[in-house]
Amino acid sequence: MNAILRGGVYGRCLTRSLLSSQCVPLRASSSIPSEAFFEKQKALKRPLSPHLSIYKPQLTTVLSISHRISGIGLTAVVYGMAIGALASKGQFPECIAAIQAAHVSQAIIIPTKFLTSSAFFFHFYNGIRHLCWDMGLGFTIKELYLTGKIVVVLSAVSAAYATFML
Amino acid sequence: MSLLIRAMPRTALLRASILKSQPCLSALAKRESSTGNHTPLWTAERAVSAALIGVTPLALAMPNPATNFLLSLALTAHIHWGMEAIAVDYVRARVVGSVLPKLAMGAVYGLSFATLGGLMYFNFTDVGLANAILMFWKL
Amino acid sequence: MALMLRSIQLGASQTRNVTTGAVTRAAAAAAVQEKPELKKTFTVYRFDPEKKGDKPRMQTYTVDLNQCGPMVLDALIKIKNEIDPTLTFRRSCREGICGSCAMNIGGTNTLACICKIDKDPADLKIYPLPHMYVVKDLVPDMSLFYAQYRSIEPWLQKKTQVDYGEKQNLQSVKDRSKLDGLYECILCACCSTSCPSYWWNPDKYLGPAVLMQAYRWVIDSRDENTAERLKRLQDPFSVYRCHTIMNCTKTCPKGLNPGRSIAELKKLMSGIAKKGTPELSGTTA
Repeated sequence: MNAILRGGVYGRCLTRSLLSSQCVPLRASSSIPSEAFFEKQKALKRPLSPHLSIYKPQLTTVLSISHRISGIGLTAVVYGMAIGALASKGQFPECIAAIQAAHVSQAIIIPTKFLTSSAFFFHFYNGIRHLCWDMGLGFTIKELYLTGKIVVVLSAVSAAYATFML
Repeated sequence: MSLLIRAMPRTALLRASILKSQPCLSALAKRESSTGNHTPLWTAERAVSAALIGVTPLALAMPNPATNFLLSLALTAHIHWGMEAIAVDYVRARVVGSVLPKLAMGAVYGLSFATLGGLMYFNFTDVGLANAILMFWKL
Repeated sequence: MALMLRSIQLGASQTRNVTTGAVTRAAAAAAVQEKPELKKTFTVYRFDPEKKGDKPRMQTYTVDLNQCGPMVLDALIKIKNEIDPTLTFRRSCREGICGSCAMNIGGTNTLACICKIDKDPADLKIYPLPHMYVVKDLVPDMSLFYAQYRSIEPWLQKKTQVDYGEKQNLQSVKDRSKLDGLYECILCACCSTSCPSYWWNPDKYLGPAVLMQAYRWVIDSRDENTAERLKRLQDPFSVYRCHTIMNCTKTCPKGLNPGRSIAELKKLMSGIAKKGTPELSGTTA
């Protein structure tokens, strides 16, 4: 009980117990009794304060969710290609020929190209921005906003180039 | 050694008294089951993302069976981890019950395997992923 | 008129002082009365747990900014004093150091006591911290947040026995400077409640505030339990729900950078970065 007498906060208990580390079970940080917390909130019928509906859209969130959405869009394309390859009987050049034969207007092809290339370039450049963050670089608010704007501009320029020049 | 032995019962007594006075702190004794080491996966995700930065332009510039293979492999892994993160973030048991999270995870794995299989098949029997993209772009 | 009333109140013996004092006071009173009204509306989130079946609603108050202090907390206190005494919110220090008055003002999380009221006439919306269970009006239940903070064991841990108060743990100036930008956190929860990942998984993801404090103890050169601390964070949820959205750093009212701390934490966990040996270790003789 000396631990308590010495101004005992349970911190002392754990400091001491480091000596006998075998008796302290390794515990994940997620082992908080959150179930009790949620049960209590439900019992008291407390409302949840508004979040998405009231939080100011900022460059941080907008670019982050765009990164995710562009990823999902590009994934859908890849899923389509892969599963299409498994499901279809013909070869890919026949598929392309079929689209050409259908005379799909440029009014549909150009926006489709621009959309997919925008998604690709944005995800690509923002991905590089993400990897810089993982290295610990570019975390001041100034750098965040600057790199964010650069990524958006570069994506638009690259998409325009890919759509109209290639 | 005696210090260890002396410390042990005291620790247990202290913990017991704390547990009685502050129910929140019973967390100290509990062991959470959703553990596991996610760190190697995180590192692998970054490595594959970094690889994709090089492989994607390379495969589009020089499409051949080797680059097609690398692109397909890296892309499928990247997509798998991305979709898994989405499923884990949004399909939460607290909100949608216990069945849907498992279904969502199953769907992610299923789609990833199908994608890998489909892309490899496409690379072997058809024009290959990079070529297909370039051919579509010429439309 | 004011002059006469003043002389009667203060008594004849003080008439000489009253005359000069009263002239100044009258002039001042006239000046205050001349200040034009600058009205601004504040639309505040209201919820009364004692009213059965009450639903959260918004209530609008109008405040004359020229009769009010410069900060949003001043306006809230004025509303509570003069218009609606039932308006409930936490507050204490009124100088941005205690963290009590953290709330969502104009769409972003900040401390009401250091948030200047914009003089424009547009309505200012005030909500409690986002995605938190509301006790009443602008007061959220913070107990989960505090339990998460406790769970990272925010105290110095050494391998050898320490008798408190007897010796000093040595730390070089350079090692101490590593704690700058970390120790100043007032645990107001503005950052954690601005994080969408924390909105979706508040029970399992620790959130930027707690993670920054976890980092604070990990990189403290005096702490010897680094490996254990990092090991406790390695599950998929505690740290790895952070996708570097960076709302946290943007909203921190103390100008701190939790996003960067989490990135450094991830680097330490993966082995990309290492803590390094302390320049000074041990205790004073």
